[in-house]
Amino acid sequence: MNSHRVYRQWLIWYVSGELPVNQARALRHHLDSCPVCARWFEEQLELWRMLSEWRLPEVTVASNRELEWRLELERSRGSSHAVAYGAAEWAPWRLVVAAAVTCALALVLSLPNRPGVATRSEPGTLVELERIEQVLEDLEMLQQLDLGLDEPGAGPQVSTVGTGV
Amino acid sequence: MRRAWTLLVVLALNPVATFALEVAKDLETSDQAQWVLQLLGSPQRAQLLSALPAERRSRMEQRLKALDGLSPEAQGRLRRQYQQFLKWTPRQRRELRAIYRRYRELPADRRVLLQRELRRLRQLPLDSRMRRLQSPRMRQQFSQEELDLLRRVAEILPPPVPAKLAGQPQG
Repeated sequence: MNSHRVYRQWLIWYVSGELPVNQARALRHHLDSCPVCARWFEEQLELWRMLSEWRLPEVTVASNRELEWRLELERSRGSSHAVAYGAAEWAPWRLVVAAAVTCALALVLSLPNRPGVATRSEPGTLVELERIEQVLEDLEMLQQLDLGLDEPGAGPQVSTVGTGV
Repeated sequence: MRRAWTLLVVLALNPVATFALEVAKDLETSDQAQWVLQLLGSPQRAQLLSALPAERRSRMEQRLKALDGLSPEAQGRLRRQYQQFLKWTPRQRRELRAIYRRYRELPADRRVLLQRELRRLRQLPLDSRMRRLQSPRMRQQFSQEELDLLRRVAEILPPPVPAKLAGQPQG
């Protein structure tokens, strides 16, 4: 099985004329005795023949003009094509706007339902319960430590805290 | 060049997005606190607690009962304290929670002593707090662990407002 794979690799080099002479000899010997590889060889030869017959269209002044005219036409069709072809023609400010819109959307989606607009009547989810537990623990902590945070001027102390936990 | 621009924009917006999410989380937590306080005494409580494992349920019940026992004034005061607490940075809040978890491990009589000391400390300016905590008397009265807790709280707590400014509205 492995030898077939090796011979097929050799075949590709062979039909492209890159296989060394001694390996080419061994390959021809194998093709005489293996009909499967021989058929594959024929197919490869056919493929190479077709490829060698294919020619690029000649570039002329007329074809150049036609290409330029088509590009101009595409540009004049407006920004919808720019979007369709990706961000190739996007100016940097458009990226900024897109990113800002994404952030705003994330903020809106993560905002809670305001009281009065929608009720929090579904406290059964694990996330909700964990948040409630955290709030309860915080309330207990504030009650127990009685730090007087509600007193005037009890804003947060700035940057004197040691390492976070 | 375009990739550099994109990277620059993403890097510039990253702190903005983080801050926005932090604000959203705070609003949500604040909202949640409001909701928790409204929950007190409501029939929803049983439904809420039934979804929890026994250990967590009993802890929550205990905390809710403690809140139930508060007068409306005390509840209002607690709510105001919580609103102030939410204005702290996430790091400060984590720090205080960690302190509280260590505080909870102490025996009840030591906790009472610490509470008293905290009340004294919060009346002092920052430098006086540190001087007080370093005094030999304090070292005799409190263990190393307790002194460390007091020092950490003293660092986080804002200094008291001078009496003549206390009556003025906060900006």
